Parts: sequence; structure tokens; C-alpha cells
Amino acid sequence: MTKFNKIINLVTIFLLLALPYYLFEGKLYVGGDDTRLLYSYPFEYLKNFVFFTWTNNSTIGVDQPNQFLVPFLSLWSLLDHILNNKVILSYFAFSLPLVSGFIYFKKFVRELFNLDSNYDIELYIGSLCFILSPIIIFDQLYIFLTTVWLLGVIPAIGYYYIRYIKNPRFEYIYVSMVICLFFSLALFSIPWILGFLLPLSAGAVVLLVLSKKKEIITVIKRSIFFSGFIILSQSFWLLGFLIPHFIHDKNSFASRISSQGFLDTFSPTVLATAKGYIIYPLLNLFHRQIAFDFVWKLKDEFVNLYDKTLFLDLIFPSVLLLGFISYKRFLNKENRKIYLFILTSLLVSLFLFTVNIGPLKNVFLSFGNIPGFVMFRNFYDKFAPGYIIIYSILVTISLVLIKKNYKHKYVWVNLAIFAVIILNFSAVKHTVNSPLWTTDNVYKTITIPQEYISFTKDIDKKISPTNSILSIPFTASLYSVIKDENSNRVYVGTSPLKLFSGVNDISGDMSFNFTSNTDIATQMILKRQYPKLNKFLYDHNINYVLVTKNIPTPVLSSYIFYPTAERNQDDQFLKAVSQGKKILTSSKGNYVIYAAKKRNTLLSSKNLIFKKISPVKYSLSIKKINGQQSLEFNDSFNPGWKLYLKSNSRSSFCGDIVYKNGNVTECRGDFVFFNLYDFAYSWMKPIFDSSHTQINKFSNKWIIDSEYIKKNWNKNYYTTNKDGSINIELVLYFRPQNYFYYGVIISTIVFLSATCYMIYLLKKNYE
Amino acid sequence: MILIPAVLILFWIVASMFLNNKISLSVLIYGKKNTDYIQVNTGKLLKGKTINGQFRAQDNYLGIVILRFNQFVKTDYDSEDVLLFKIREKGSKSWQFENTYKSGLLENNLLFPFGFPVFDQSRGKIYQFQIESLNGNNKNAVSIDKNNLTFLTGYKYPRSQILSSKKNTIEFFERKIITSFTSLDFFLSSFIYLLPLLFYVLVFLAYPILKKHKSTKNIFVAGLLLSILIDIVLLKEIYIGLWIFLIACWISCSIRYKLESKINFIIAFVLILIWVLLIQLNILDYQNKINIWVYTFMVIGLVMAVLDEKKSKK
Repeated sequence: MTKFNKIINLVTIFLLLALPYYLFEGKLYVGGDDTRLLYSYPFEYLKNFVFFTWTNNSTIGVDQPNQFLVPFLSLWSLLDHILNNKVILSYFAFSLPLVSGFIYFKKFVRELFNLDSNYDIELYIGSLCFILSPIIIFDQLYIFLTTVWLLGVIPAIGYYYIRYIKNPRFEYIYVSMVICLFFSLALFSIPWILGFLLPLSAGAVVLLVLSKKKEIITVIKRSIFFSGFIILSQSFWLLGFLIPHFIHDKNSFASRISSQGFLDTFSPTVLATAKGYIIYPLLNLFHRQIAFDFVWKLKDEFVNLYDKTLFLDLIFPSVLLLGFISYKRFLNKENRKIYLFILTSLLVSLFLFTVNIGPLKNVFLSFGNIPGFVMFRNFYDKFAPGYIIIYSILVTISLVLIKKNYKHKYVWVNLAIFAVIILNFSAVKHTVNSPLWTTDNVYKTITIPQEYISFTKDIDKKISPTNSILSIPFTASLYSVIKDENSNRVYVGTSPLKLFSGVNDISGDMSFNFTSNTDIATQMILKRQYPKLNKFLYDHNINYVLVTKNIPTPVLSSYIFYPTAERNQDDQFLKAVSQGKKILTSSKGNYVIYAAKKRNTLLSSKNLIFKKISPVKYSLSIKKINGQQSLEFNDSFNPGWKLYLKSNSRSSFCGDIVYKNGNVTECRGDFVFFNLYDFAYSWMKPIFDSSHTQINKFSNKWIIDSEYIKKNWNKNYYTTNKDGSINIELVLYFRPQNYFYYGVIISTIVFLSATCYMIYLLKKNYE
Repeated sequence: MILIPAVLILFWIVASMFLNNKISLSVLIYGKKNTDYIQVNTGKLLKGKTINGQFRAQDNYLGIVILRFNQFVKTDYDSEDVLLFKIREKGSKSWQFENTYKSGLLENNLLFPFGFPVFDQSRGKIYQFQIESLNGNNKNAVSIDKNNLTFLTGYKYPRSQILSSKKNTIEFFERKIITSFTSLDFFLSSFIYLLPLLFYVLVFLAYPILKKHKSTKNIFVAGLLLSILIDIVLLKEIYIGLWIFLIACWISCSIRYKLESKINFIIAFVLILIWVLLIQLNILDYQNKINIWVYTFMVIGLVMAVLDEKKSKK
């Protein structure tokens, strides 16, 4: 690499690092479905969400393993500790996928086609074409979900994979395993990864046709070895993610995406959105029609820029055409094969990313019958990163071919395409830092107000995490709105209440996931059916009402809220659902918590004392059981919740009492992250499992029977009272949590073995 | 020699009638007669503007009026226009049927059927209809091409009537065949069932001729490209049968005359260029067809390139 190339690479990396400072002007870029708060508050995220398979982040409880975030959040928490600045930390998270994508894309393409340093400029332009593409701006930077990390991870793993295929050295696998470990949050974006791999698999048919049998077998063997190690090393989250798909666990994320309701959305979603034409992606632009149909912010960018520069974008198909004209003459046999493989993948990817290609639309719709294909209903999103990677590879190699074919004119082509890439990227600020959808000037970058942070700390102190809070105004999603300290800017995204306070809230329709209760609360609010609503809140263990008073008017009229429902959440509503007694008020009065009309507890039964050990474990003590009585667990029903009878029950079960309500006492539990004994729950026989049923179309119920215990268990497991009734201690445990522990064991063994082997190799090389 | 083509022709007729998913078997479609008229006083159908029509029913059981609308850019759902369709027998004081339609429904169905409860004894009677825009504005309004007006009427025969006697059945199918195959749209829609016959003709009759006369290369290539151009420009609907036939002809031509794979990519690029040019001129009618043909040429070009590579290896 020449000195000049080194300088422009360094300057580019610097500019990419500076990009968020230009875009967000010192405010946090937070909100949306995954809140993006994990980049600025990694430790809080780590503490409240990721270790346990049973989670609720502004939702009812759900079997959703989030452990894929553990390594990244641990790393990021360490960085947070070092940097001690939320803005710098979150801006670094914004730039890092782009920087790593920029670096590794070049390495990937160089390795793929064996390019030497003569083509550094073409590789440079190609990688800019990739990371600065308008498709990336809109599909990744604007939404900025964890899928954005794929921009760096795919080229990086692609690079090491190609190196391994060429030269099977274990170090390539090892480095890939380490990358995948820290960025396993990207690997969780399975539909997007498949959106890249599916077109490549189709393209691989060309390699099969053009390669010798021996070559094919070698590549397959090495691919299995390479991917096998990576998959095994990811067991710590993969096991918990995959098993619910096989055992059809009710209420798990897996059952949600395979539910009939979800499957039925495939055709309507595809038909409503498959309106684009292939020409726009070929011009390196996102689909125009969909932006107009759904009045996306992107529409303005088309009107103001892309529509006017459409002719300039012809440079991209021109480059591809010139590349195709030259490939036979200037590429060797091996590279010709790879070129055709990439071209085939591109055409398949183009179809999957567009769908609307005459009769082929029906072909795509028929794919909806393939189990799991429903994950691609938002094809314009899922196939976008894969498409742009493949597209940019082809643009890069086409630039190389142009350089070989047109030795004196190629510079002009490079300059022209570079200029168009930069011109197209100039829309980034307007797109990424744009007003909230359906508002004109309410921006989404904020500084989280101290008032809110302090208020959530008060909640942490005063309200037990076994309660749920109803956040109002109730939204159409599971969002909350937090207004900036000094301006009308807002945080709009999944409610961060649990992140900051540890107490879950129910903030909108989607808080009920895809269950039959999804829009029931809204309907009750709309129809002012307060007795029904109060029963609904009681059944869902919603014991407090949080009112946010400073939401700007344009946000109240935005897509976040149902207008009539929002209007109905007035004083009459508040009076009907709360006791009118303020439990907590924030410093400036913008946030107030009231006690709900009727209070429930997370667990209820006669003479019950319970305490929370962790989100997946509760200790229970029930006294004076005489005959049969019910035990209710007021969280989402899931067959994974099991009761285990404990031997040698203690007399001092409860320390501090948190809450007492009639027959039920909640005690303060000592948080225990992991107890070796938890493994035993995998093979221990649960008790009363056959009586585990769903009640209120939502929660769990068991029938506890003293006679059964007396008959089947020895006296170590219960104590008998004078009247013949018994006292027992139980553990309520969410058994799928153990998949995580088993996964950790597998991942650890794989990593330890791989590390030992690497040390052995290094030692051997040294000798 | 005659038997195979005869069977294939029979297959075409029967399959077109029974498997056609556009027009139900029990529906007869008639074209516009000279005495029928449609009054279109407006370019775009803006709010309050109407399209008025009058026609004499050509059969009993009148149940559908079909009009072709121009290609338009669909707005988001909430901003779509609402069209109010009304129909009555001439002389009737009030409209006998009214219904509203969101304009977005027309997007993938420019030849749009307005259905209504069947008028049993309609033959010979004069009917009037009106389409009124309730929310049309410059962004969402639809329009009708006055110079290329397509106006059809449909008659839905009850099953009991068709099967009531042998004579009625024969008469119905006689009329069905005549009304169907005299309609260009039906003919083109039925092209997919004509493919076996066309391929038979191509393989056993046309190909030997092509083989003998090498000098025909330019004529055939130009002819095929012209046919594709006609498909893009003149035929607004997508006829799968015709599409497959043209692809098959192009591939045959490419193999026969050893056309280079890059020709396909050059044609695709020229089509992209035309597409961009038309967009700049706000001509939207041909977007979809060009979109399909660009992809088609790229795929053909790719397949040829892979086959070339395979051959060169050998």
C-alpha cells in the first residue's frame, strides 16, 4: 500500500468516526424498537435484560433468550468505564460498523479475486460504494438496529472464510470465532444473514457447474469445518434460541413467529410492499415506490435529490456493463468462475430484494409456504444488506476490469463514480437525523433528562420489580415518549423504564406481543369500559399507573398514538383506573405514578409467602395447606415454568416484607444470578405439572394438593400442623434457562480447546 | 402430422376457457358497440368530476362493466381517491346500484371490473353508468385514455340456465368461444395454453427453415426485438404465455446465431437508459414492462455466459 493510499484510508476512517458528531450534534441517537440505549447504557442493559431467558422489556413475560448480547455488552461496559462519556460511547457504536465494514470489505474483495496493490483505489471506491450506499443509509443507519453490525461482520467473516478455503490454517477460524463472540448481537440477525446467504447459495450452483468434483468436495469439507466451529462457539445463545423452535414452546418468540397470525401476514405484507422496480437497486438506490406509498422520510430525499440525479446514477449500471464486457478477456479461469458466481448471486438477490418482477412475484408468494420463509415478509429490509454487499463486490471488480481494459480512461470512471457515491451520501443527515415519522419538526436525538433518570431511580427504590406499571398515554406500539430537557426533541422507542428502574411497564398494544390481548386494552380505553379494564389490569399484575405529562402536542398526534384513545386517557380515565393517590412525582412534575385501582401480586395463593430470586426463579412458602388450593403466577403462561418441592423447609423464610396483601406476603429476595443446583432442575421431576394450566387467557395456575404430597413425598419435604394441614416450600423455576447454561459450557469447551490448539500452533511455529 | 397440432389447438381452446382465472367460465364478455358511448370531459378524474357512459346490453344477465384506466402513481392508502360507481336502466329515476372503490385497487388491475347485482332480462335494454371521484386531486386522481378506450360489458349466466338443456349449453359455449377469442385481451391471456402448439411449430417447422437460411439472422433478431418492443409499448397487461414465448424465441435465436451473452446485457442497459429517460419525462406507462424485460435479458445473458464458460472449459 502506498503512502497516499494509507493517508486516504486513515482520513476516511477519521471521517467515519466524526460522522455521528456531524449528524447528531452532541445528542444521543436513541429510540426505536431496540432503543439503542444499549450503546450508551451497556451496564444497565447487561444487568436488567440479557442473562435470563425469561424477559420482559415493556412487554408481558416472554421466553426470549437475549444472551447473544452478553459479550458485546460486557466489552461495551468496560469501554463505558474507561471513557465515562455516554455520547462518545454511543457515537463510537454508530461509526464502528461502518469503519469495520470499510476495512474488511476491501480485504474481502481483495482476497476473493486475488487483487494486488495496483487496485487499491478501486477497492477503496468499492468499499465506499458499500458503506455509503443510499440503501445502507435508509435500511441500516436510519433504523440502526443491531443488524447494522452485519456491515462489518459479514465482510470480516467472509474474508477469513476465503482465506481458510484457500489455505486451511486454524488461526482464520479462531479469529472468526473471536469476532463472532463479541459481535454475536449481529449473528442474532438471522433473517438478514440468510438474506445474504440465500442469494449466494443460489449463485453457488454456478460454482458447482463450473468446478471439478475434487475442488467442490474440498470446499464443502472446509466450509463445514469453518462454520461448524463458529456455530458451536455460539452455543451460549444459539441453544436457547433453537430449542423452542423444535419443542414448539408456547409464548416463546419462536411460537410468535410461527403463529398463524404471523404467517397470515406474509402475503398481504408482500403484496402491499412489492411495488418497486429493479432499476432503482441497479442504480444503487432504495425502492422509490414503497417510500411514497408509506410516506417514509426517504420520499423527501427522492424528491429533493435522487429524482434529480437519476441520470448520474446510471454510472453504476454502466460500470457493471463495462465490467461484463471485459471479464472474459481480463480475468483468469478461477476469477471468471467467481465473477459469474457473484453475478448470479446479484440477480437472485435483486429479485428477492425487489419481488415485483412480473410473474416472479407469484413465485415469491409461493415461497411463503416454505416453513420459516415468513421471516422474509419485509423482503425490502431483510435482503437489503445482502444485496448491497454483493452489488458492491461486483461494482469493485468491474472497476478493476475497467482499469485493465481502458488503461488511459479508467481514472475518469473512478472519479465519476466516487463523485456520485459522495453526492448520494450527502442525503445522510436529512435521512438519519430526520423528524419523527408523521411530524414535521420533532427530532429524535436527545439528552435523557435528569428528571427522568432520577425518577426511575426512585421507582427502583420504592416499587418491587415483581410489579408491572401501566404507562400512559398508551401507545399503538410498545413505545414511550421522553421529552428532551430543553427542547421539543423526544425519545420515541421501546419504553426504557425497566432499563433504568428494573420495573417493567406495559406501554402499548404491542406490549402484549402477538397474543389475543394485543389491542384489547386500547379497545377498552376507547369504549371507556373501566370495570373490564380494571379487571384486565389486575389479571396482568399491573399495579401502578405512570402518567407522562410533557409529551409535545405534535407527538401526541403522530403515528405513535391512536388519536381517540389518546384523548380518552383523560382525568375521567385516571380516576377510573387509579386510586388517585400519587405514589411518586418527578422533580418537575412531568412524571407521576399512581397506585392502580385494585392491587394484585405476581404470585397468589392462600397463605403464600414468596420472594424473587431472579427473573427465572422464585422461592415460595405455603402454610396450612389442607386439601387442594390454587397457586397463580400472574405472568404469561409458559409450560417452561416448573414447580419443585424443597426439602427441609426453613422456619425463617422471610426477612424484609416488601408487600402484604391479605393471604399473600412478598419478601425481599436476595438476587442470585446462578446457583449450581439450578442444573438439577433439568432432570428433577417437577411437582403438580399436570395441573399447570392457563387462566384469564394469559397467566399460569397450578393446583396444590396436600394429600398428594403426603402420599408421594417423605416428611423431609413438608411439616405437619396440628390440624393435619401441611407447610411446604417450593421453587418456581423457568427450566429453559438451563439451555443457556448448557450453551455456555459448550461454548467454553470450544473456546478453551481452540485457544489451547492455537497456543500449541504458535509454540510449534516458534520452535 | 395433423393430429398433434389439432390436439394442441383443442388443448388451447379448452384450457383457455376452463383455466382462465381472469374471467369466470359462466361470464360472457362483449366489446363496445357503435351506439355505446362514454363521456369523458376530464383528463384526470378530479373531485366531483364524472365519467358517464351509456350502452345497450348485448345479452341477458348483465353484471359487470369493465373500463381500462391509465397507469398512475399510487399514493399512500389514506390519500387514495374514492370512486363512486353507479348504474341504472335508462329511464329509471334513481340509480339502481351504487358502490365505492378505493383508487388503489386499480393499481394492479387497470382493466377494472365494476361488478353489480345481475340484471336478468337485460338484453336490448339501455343502461347508464357513472363514475364519480369523491376525493380526487392532482396527486391521487385516476384517468381514462380517451384515445384508446377499452370498454367491455360482462354477462354472468347462472349455472342452472347454462345446464338447463343441451341446446342452451351448446348455445352458451358457442357464444363463449366467439366472444372470448374475438377479444384481444382474452387471446393474449390464453397464450400460455398456446405455448405447446407454438413450440411444436417452432421446433418442427420454423427451426429447420432458420437452419437453412443463415442470412435471416438480422431479420429474426430485429423482428424479435421489435416484438418485445411492441409488448412493452402496446400491451399494457403482462401476458405470461407471450412472455415465455418471446423468451424461448430469443434463446433459440441466440443459440442458433451464436449471439454473445453481452448482447443481452447491452439490451438491458439500453432499456434501463430508456426507463430513466421516460421517468424524467414523467411517462410512467412502460415502467413495469421495462422492469420485467431488463431482468429477463440479464438472466438470459447470465445463463449464456455460464454455458459459454462451461463450454470453454471443455
